[in-house]
Amino acid sequence: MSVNTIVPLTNVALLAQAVESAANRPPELPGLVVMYGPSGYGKSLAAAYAANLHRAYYVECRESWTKKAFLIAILREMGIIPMKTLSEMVDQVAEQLSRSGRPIIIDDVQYVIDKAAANVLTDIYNASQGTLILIGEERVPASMARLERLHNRVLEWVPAQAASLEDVIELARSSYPDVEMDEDLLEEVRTRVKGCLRRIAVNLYRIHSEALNNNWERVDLNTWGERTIHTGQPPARRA
Amino acid sequence: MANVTRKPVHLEAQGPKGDRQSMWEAMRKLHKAGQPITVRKVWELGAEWGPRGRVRDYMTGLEAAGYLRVTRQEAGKTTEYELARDCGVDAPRVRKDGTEVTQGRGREQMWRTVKIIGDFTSRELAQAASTPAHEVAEPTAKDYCLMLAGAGYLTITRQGSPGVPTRYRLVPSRWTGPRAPMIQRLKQLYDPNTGEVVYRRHVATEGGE
Repeated sequence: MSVNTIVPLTNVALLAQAVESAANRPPELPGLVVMYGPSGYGKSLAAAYAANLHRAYYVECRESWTKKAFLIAILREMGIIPMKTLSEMVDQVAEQLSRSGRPIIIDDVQYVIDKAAANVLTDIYNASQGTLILIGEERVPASMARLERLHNRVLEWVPAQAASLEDVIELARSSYPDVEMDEDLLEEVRTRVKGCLRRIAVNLYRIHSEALNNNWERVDLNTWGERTIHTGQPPARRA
Repeated sequence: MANVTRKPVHLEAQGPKGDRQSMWEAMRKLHKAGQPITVRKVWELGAEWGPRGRVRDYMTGLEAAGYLRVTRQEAGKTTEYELARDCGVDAPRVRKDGTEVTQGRGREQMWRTVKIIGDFTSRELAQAASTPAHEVAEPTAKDYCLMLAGAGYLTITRQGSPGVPTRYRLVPSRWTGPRAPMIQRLKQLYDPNTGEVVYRRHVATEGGE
């Protein structure tokens, strides 16, 4: 029997708190939450947790999206058959958001924020006064500054944080409980990949398989020795 | 044992909507048309396949939960209701006493999470899909992954071997809708979005019994 505890990663907790306060805000306050940060920082995990807590709708944007594609994707996520025109679709989305009281999470928002499709966001927000959570890359706040009507409706800005040592320890413990990984090795991994959670996960996986191959029950920096740490950089060419 | 008479969902005659869903849609339709909501009208519009008592039970539950309000209740006349709280397209899942049905929340959370987190092992899925109120156990997630993969909803990105868990990923084109496919007792996967049984696991006892 395994009992899961929710991995209390920093970014997961940060977003959960922000969404909580947006969902329970007094009606006169705006309802936008923006989380931004480099890819691989665990924003999607944070999104999954916040989405499950609040039964939020979730849409992941694509580079090629037009206004229409954007709206159809949202309606599909809601299980609603789209009507014909764009403005009817905005009304459908807005009605469902305000009636259900469920938030909507829009991931990879950098793909639409510089395009006409961004106006869909403003329209939906204005028509629903719902809780919108935008998640995207580092430049999203700068892009949003140009969309004044959207920008001043942000209740909370949540910069995604690089993984802390606690995050790495927690991740190692929950993913690979059978192998004890020492803090000095985990700290080395963390600094080498600059706190990028995705690369930390790759390294933990490699450490774990190496440990299984060598029958280690415990790995520290010494045991790991000269073995490499995956940083995403291609290896230097040797003469 | 209380559940033995329950028909498998896919055998219910109302098509892919689910009984609460079609009743709820009927009530919203009446509400939009400005008409009073009665058990009979809801039954005619959205539940003719079933006993009228089921409509009555659901509406009693909705009233207890505050979704419906009685507007006329006189001896000898049909009780009329209005929609007091319209929560959108999804039918509220309430019992006759008005309490919320939370069965299936874990599955709903897994189905939502699968779309969000990219590739995952069943263990990672269980962790990412758990909330304090509804935890997802790892064996549950494992079963669900197996069934979804069997139906072609998930692809295997890394085949598992002893000690190495299988990694899965959602096939985006196979995402059929927001309702989570459910494993039925016959060990088959039913997709409420399309109303179809999409996978049957062959059990070793076949041909026996």
